[in-house]
Amino acid sequence: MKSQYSYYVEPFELKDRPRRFLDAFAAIIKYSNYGPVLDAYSRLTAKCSRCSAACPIYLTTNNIKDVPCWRSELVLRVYRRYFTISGMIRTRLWNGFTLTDDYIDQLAEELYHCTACRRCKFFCPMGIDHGMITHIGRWALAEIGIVPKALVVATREQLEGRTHNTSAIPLPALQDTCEFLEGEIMEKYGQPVKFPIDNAGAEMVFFPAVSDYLLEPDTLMGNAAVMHATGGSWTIGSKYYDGINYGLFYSDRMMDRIVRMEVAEVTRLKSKIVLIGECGHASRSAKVGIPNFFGHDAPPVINIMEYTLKMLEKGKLNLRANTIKDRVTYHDPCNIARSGWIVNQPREILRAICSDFVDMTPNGPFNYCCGGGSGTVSIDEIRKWRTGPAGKVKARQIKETGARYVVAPCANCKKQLREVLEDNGLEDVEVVGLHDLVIKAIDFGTQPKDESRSAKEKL
Amino acid sequence: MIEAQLAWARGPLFLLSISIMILGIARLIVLTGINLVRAIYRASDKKLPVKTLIAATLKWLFPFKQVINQSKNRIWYSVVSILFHVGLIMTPIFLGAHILLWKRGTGISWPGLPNSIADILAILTVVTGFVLIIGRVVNPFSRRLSRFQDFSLPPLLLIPFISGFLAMHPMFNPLPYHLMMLFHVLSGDLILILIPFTKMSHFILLPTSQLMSEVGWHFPADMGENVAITLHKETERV
Ligand code: SF4
Ligand code: SF4
Repeated sequence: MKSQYSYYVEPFELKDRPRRFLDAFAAIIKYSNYGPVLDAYSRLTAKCSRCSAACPIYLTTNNIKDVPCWRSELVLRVYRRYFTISGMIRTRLWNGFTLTDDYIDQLAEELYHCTACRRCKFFCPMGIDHGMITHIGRWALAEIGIVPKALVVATREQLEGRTHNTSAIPLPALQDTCEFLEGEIMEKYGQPVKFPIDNAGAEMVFFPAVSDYLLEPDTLMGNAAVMHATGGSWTIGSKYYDGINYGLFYSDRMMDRIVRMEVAEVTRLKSKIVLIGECGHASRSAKVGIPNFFGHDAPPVINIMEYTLKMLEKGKLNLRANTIKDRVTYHDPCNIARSGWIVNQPREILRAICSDFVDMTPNGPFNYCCGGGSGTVSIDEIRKWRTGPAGKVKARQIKETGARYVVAPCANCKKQLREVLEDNGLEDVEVVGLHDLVIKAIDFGTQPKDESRSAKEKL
Repeated sequence: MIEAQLAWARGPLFLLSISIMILGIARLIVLTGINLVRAIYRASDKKLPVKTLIAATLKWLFPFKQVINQSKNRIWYSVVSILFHVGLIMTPIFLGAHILLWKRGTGISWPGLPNSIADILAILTVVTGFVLIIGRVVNPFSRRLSRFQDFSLPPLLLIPFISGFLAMHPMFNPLPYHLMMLFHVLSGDLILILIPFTKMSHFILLPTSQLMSEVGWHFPADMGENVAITLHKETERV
């Protein structure tokens, strides 16, 4: 398949694109809260280029097109011209800027050269959130059919397909996988850990990135083992079991529809809490989307790392210190670290089980993106860009720690980091999830904990 | 002749300019306020991280620490920019001669700076202003990012400082006093008029920008639906 962009796009209507783009943009501004933000930004930008040194992509390419403010100006220019009085007057007075097909093509290319990691926001004296601008611009593009095929195909399956998940895993396959994982844990740890499916009335419904069922069995085994060891009341829903939400990357309209399915499943199972797996973007889209689209009735959203730490602090989870002897470092997924939501939790857990934990610099809210943020990781055809310009800084950071394991909780970060390490000659470093290590350190006690309870249940 | 023009420039023209500025700024404040209130009202998740927002806002209103912490990010440019802003704000407000004018016109007055300090501040502003212009032109990225107003405003801002300084120091002044004052007042008037319409308005908007950015991520619950209806996409497949 040939594409005019560096990523594949499904065929889209070419007629009248500028007008349709502006219609979409206008609708978005009207019904969202982005309008006033764009208005303030379009007046505020100082063009001081301080933000450039904040962006890992710019740091590698040194190209003006990767200066955050340059890219954002592409969107702000459209806003200024078509949605402000002064912009309209200015065009009357002299031939100003006009939105053309070429310009839309440029937007389509450049907005996917930003991973919307939002690091640069901290460095702009004017407080401009370039991640948000990328987010808005991509939504408007999506409404005229310009979306990376990889993202839209997955979302289509999730919303309208037979399996209702992005990896197209049918329910029987999911059940098989869960049974298989239960067997694995039994074999390795001798514990009767369960992956409960449709256990109505459980407190939490679990939504990992569904791809974990295919690619990250160790993470899932760790998640279930923690639940088992702490007596957590949780379940997987048979009607909907995917935490992935690509809507966050290209369309709030899709984000809305996807989080509705999560909430519907929680309601169906008469549960109270949305429990997201380790995945970063799954967590943020639920954490931001659910209260936004449901207001007061919104069920609370927690990330499993929060749960694990809470149990550890309460003394309900016993972890053996110094279980992991190799050097370990932690990669902060932007979507949960930038806001400061999940920064210390995984570190405390890691410090409890590792004898040699080192942080990268910078880290936490100031971390560098893995280079695969905002869905770009799913676009295989841009791998060269992801592991090169976008991933070099991360590779260097990891190398400097000298770590043997990089803990990357997010499903997207994991895939991206593996490719970054491979393409940058760091094959010795292994990328794992947090719970992959946790399970090795859980002290289940001498007696399998659940025996008495499961015996009772049988009666 | 020039004296008459000067009287006009600091009389009616000044009144006009300052009125435009005040009205323009008032409009901006009201609009920003309405926008913010409306956005929060429409958002279904009204919980804002107030403490973080206040901290971030203060951090950037008094950005000394930020500049040092982020030393890689054009540190000299940032330091110079802070000094420039200090001079730019302090000098016109606390110059004795200006306060006297206000007192004559409105009866209101406030303590001023000694002239020697005002002189130093004025020189500081001019020097840092030139460094900023050079910094913008020499840095290839900043240069290519900049629009017309980014280049033209700093020199314009310096004119009243230079002319005011020269007018107050006859021994350096190459022009007749009144002519120099005319430049001073006219450029000052022009700046006042431009404040609400150019990026100079950031002195009003900057304190709201952190809050703005946060509010953008708080959506009205029916946003997606409404966009779909407007674009006739309610039944369209993904
Ligand atoms: S730091 Fe802010 S104002 Fe300066 S160039 Fe970047 S986005 Fe623009
Ligand atoms: S959001 Fe991240 S990737 Fe995008 S411009 Fe900013 S720092 Fe670069």
